Amino acid sequence: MSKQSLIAVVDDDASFRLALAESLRSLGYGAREFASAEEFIADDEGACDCVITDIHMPGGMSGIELGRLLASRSTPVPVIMVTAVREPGLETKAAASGSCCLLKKPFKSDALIGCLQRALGN
Amino acid sequence: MIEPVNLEDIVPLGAATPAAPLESILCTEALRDRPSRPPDYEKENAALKALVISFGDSPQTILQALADKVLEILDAGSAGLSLLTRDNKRFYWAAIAGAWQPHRGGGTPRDFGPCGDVLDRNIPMLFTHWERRYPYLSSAMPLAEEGLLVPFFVNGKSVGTIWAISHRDHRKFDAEDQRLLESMGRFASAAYQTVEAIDDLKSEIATREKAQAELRELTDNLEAEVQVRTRELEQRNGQLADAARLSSLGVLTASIAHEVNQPLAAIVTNAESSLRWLARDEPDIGRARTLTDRVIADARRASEIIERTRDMASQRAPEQELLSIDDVIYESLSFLRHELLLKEVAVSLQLADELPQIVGDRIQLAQVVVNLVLNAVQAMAQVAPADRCIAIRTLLLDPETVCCTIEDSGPGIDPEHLPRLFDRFFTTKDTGMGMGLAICQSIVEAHGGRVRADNNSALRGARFSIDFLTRRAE
Repeated sequence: MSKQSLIAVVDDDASFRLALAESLRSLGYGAREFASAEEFIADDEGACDCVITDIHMPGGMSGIELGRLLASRSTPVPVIMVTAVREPGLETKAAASGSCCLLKKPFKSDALIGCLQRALGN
Repeated sequence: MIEPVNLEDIVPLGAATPAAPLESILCTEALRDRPSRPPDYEKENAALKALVISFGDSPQTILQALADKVLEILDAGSAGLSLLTRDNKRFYWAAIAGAWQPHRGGGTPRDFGPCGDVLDRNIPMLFTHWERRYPYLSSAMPLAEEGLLVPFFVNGKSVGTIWAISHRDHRKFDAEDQRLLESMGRFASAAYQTVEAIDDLKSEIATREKAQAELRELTDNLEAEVQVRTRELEQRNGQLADAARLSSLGVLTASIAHEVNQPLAAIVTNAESSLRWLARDEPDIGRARTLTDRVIADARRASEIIERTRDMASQRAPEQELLSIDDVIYESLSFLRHELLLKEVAVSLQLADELPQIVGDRIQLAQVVVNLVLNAVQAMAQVAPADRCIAIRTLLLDPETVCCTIEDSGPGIDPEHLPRLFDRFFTTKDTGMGMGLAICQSIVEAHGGRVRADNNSALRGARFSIDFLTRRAE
């Protein structure tokens, strides 16, 4: 690819957010970090190529809601969901919100790369 | 030995021979008429003295001693005592000395025999060849030439006879014999009453002892049963506490997994990144080192989560320390983070400033708060997610009391259940999580505090208030 893809990482867990961002950078992607869906919406207006978002974020919009929001845009942004929770039906909810993948923490980079390729169409 | 005879058993000889009339076998007046020996008081006293000593030695055998003595001082062929049975139907020969000794235990019918005749009249009687009237006595060998019977009385009632028999026709009884026999009779009377009293006493003692033994056994059984039941109850108590603890843990296993997955995910991601940097043609050691540091930090974070979870499950002895109630609340909410998220419950905190510290066991108090909040969460299960609220407030009630309230927007507590809410074993259909209000109460009270429940919640649900004692000035 000629242009480096920019991935937005949305997660309230600081430690993981940083780890994922750096992992993406080490894989050759650009990454930007947001502590909440609200922060992402306030700051970014379609300037990223893909959003990786945690589903359960306290006190605000959930990742599912963010996914629905992004899917309803005129220029939809691909969304990858991430979760630490093992709740039945979550995969269905994630898919219904328009995301292309659900990653379950902890996950290895192979799985991440696979999801990114699907999301970015490579 | 002659078997005791029933009147029905007596078959008239040949059925045609009637019994001789009583007069024909009586010769009582002969006692008066015959020449009598002078009274031998010495002999009488010696006999009585000997009997008294004998009675002192062995009350149970006094009747036999009496029979022996009568035999001796009357120079009789046989002597003995007849006693009326309790049913008043016959006499049995309680003691016999002399030739008739083998017949001991036999007897005569009350209504048809020499003893019966004497007791009918209550006077001494002298019989001769009584088998002419009482044929059954002919089997009592050797035959009686004469039989002298004297009644003896107990409490004015005649209960038997004392008698002497001569088997030789040249030994006939006289007035002195009658006198001596009557004297023996009086002694027999006293002896009999005493023996009866002793027997009654022994019987009563035996009954009492038996009753006491039974009572003791019942008491022992009861005590044993009480012990068993107490142990069962204690066990059940422990089981309930365990079940409650486990159920809250079971429910929160998901939250533990969720929480621990965060640092684990960071560890995996960082470790893989680190390996990637090290795999380059020019490995970036600096970056790898930074990432490794983060891995260690996240491993510690995971460990703390597990520790906190173990704390919540702990059953250790309470440790006292100075605590800030706010810290206890934060720790509890941290533990419940995932549960609150999952159940979409909003928690608002209104914590007073600069509250004095309280003294208590950090973990136990956190367990109390965790369980009250869990109860609140459960109470709101039927409430729309958007309306699920918990409000936690702290305030200073007075200089010595810090109060923490936990309110929810559930349906509130049924007023009928309010008085018994903290009772052991009290459950309503809605409870099932948490360690039980009874245990909450016992922990709080062990800290010198109080826990109360009412429906005075601004959120229109239930309100639980915990009062804690602040650290008192020494």
